Amino acid sequence: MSVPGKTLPTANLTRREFARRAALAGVSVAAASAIGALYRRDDPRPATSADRRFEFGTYAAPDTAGRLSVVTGGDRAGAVGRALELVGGMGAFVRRGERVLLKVNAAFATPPIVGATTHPEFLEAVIAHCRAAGAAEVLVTDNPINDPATCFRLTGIAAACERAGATLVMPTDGAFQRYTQSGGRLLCDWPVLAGPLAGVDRVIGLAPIKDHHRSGASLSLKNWYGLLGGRRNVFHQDIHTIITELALMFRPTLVMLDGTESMISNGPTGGSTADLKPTRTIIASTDPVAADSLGVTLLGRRAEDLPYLAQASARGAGRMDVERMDVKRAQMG
Amino acid sequence: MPARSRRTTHPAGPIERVVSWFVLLALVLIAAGLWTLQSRPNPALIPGASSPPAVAVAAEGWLNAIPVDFSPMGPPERFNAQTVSDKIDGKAELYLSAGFVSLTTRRMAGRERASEWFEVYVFEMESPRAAFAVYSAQRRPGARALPAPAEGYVAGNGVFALRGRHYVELIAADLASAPAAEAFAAALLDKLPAEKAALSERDFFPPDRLVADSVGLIAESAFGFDRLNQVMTARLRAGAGEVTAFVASRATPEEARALAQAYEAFLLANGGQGRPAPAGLAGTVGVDLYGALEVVIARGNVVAGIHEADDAESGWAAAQALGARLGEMLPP
Repeated sequence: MSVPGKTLPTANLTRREFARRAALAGVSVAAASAIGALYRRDDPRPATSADRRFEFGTYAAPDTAGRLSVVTGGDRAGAVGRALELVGGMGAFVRRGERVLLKVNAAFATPPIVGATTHPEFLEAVIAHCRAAGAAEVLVTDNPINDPATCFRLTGIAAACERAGATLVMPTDGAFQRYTQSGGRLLCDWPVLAGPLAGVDRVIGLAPIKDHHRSGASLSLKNWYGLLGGRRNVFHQDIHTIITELALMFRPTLVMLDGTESMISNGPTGGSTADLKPTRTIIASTDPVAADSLGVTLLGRRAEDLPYLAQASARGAGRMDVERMDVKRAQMG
Repeated sequence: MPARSRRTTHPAGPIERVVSWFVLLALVLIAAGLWTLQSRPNPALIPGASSPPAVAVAAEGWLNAIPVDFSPMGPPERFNAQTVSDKIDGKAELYLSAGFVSLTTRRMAGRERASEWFEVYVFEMESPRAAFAVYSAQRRPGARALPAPAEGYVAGNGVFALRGRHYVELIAADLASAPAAEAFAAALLDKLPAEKAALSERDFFPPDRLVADSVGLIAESAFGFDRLNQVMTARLRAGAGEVTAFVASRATPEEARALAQAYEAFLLANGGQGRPAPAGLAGTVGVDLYGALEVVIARGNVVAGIHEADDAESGWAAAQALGARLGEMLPP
């Protein structure tokens, strides 16, 4: 494109001079690109994140979709057994020789009495059922926000693993790999706790039922938050989106909610037994959205009160219309 | 006469132009690429952005001066606004929105019985008013009050107290450890500086209807309306039950009126239906919001009202009592 009358100041440009200038321009472009590339390469990676990309596996047991049970009353261990029985027994989900990962909520270094973490009795009962089903190995993990060793110790989870014969897997720096969710807005190039998932056949989520100051409720979907590494607290500003994306990471084998005592106020940390209500309920489901839709009612709220449930359901992570599902119910004691 | 430059103007040739445009385009693409990368920093990868480990505190006298009956299970830890969510996760926003300064924690065990342990949380807030906001927001009903003059209570295994700009929690491992936590709390509260909170709005609630220990302070976005900040709430007896009343002071009557109008508009925009106020309630509007009555009163430099009264008759009765009290307290 030329502009009439406009000329460029040049010497009597020879072919050689033009080639020299073009080469200089090329070197300038290459130098700028190299600086950019170097800058990019110098981007500091956290020690906790390996460069390998992680993809979640398939953990759902065949022909178990849409199973949902609710057991009220009875003691915690008994209700766990009955809830499992109603969805087909642990044998329907865990086969002999399989490796099972139990994702607990060990977020805080608080005692079991405050109900902020997975109760050791609940965990112990589920480990026993996995072992009875023939699991070759039962692993237990979480990436707590407080010091992991202290969290596992003070919550009673470490002792429960020891008593029941499960292996506690710590979230060490090398256990994280980067994960990008297809179509995800927040989970892009984010470190996730991949190490404990390596080689496992089944993943079961075990969560308490809690009020949550930001999200409204912390249930089975929010429990996957503990699989994230990095500076994940930034997600609190967009809590419903992050829980929706957690719901889409993978389909678990099973989730179980412990509403023996639900934290109905001052969550997610609580701090007092006065924050708990004896709701005496255990929920088991292969559909985490359905489990949470029922679990939130124990807090006196509706599934519609949690925007992330509608978002997760709309994106195919599970069903909110539990009234149309075949819910197996039982009352104990 | 100066020597004439040998440079002459010469029209750019087509090849020169093509190469020039190519170089410019490449530079623009590089700039755009760098801008895109840098405008979307991954918080997980920013150097130093990963939460730093909690800092062990050496000089918090009130957590280092330990009564003889207790022994620490570790050093104190301190968290600031950037790291507090590492300790309390999703509840951090409650403190941050109210005016959080720092959190110091330490676990203690009984010297005689190590199984009796508890964790002490000392939240330092920007002001006694901010401390009152987080204290009142988490108050457990039906708790046993701490002996006077301490302001606090024991609920189950936990002790919760307020002292000046500090809000304190002691979480015991079990019910058997709660007495040890309470004893420690008494010693700790004595050491914290006393400072009275400016909570003059609570005088606007009619004393004859006010439910004891029900006064609270919402620092931000009360009832879902982002302009309704620094709102004091209380439960008032009305009819056979109770309703929630609120009061918020503003700098000028004009500001208060504008806020009341904005809040009414917010209620109407969210599905509310206007309801006329009974005779004698000047500057008052009612809104039926899906079966619950909301009342908004603008009086002097105060915005007040009733929130979510299930029974309209009780709601209006409480509004009349509140309006009368405001009439007594505010200059005509």
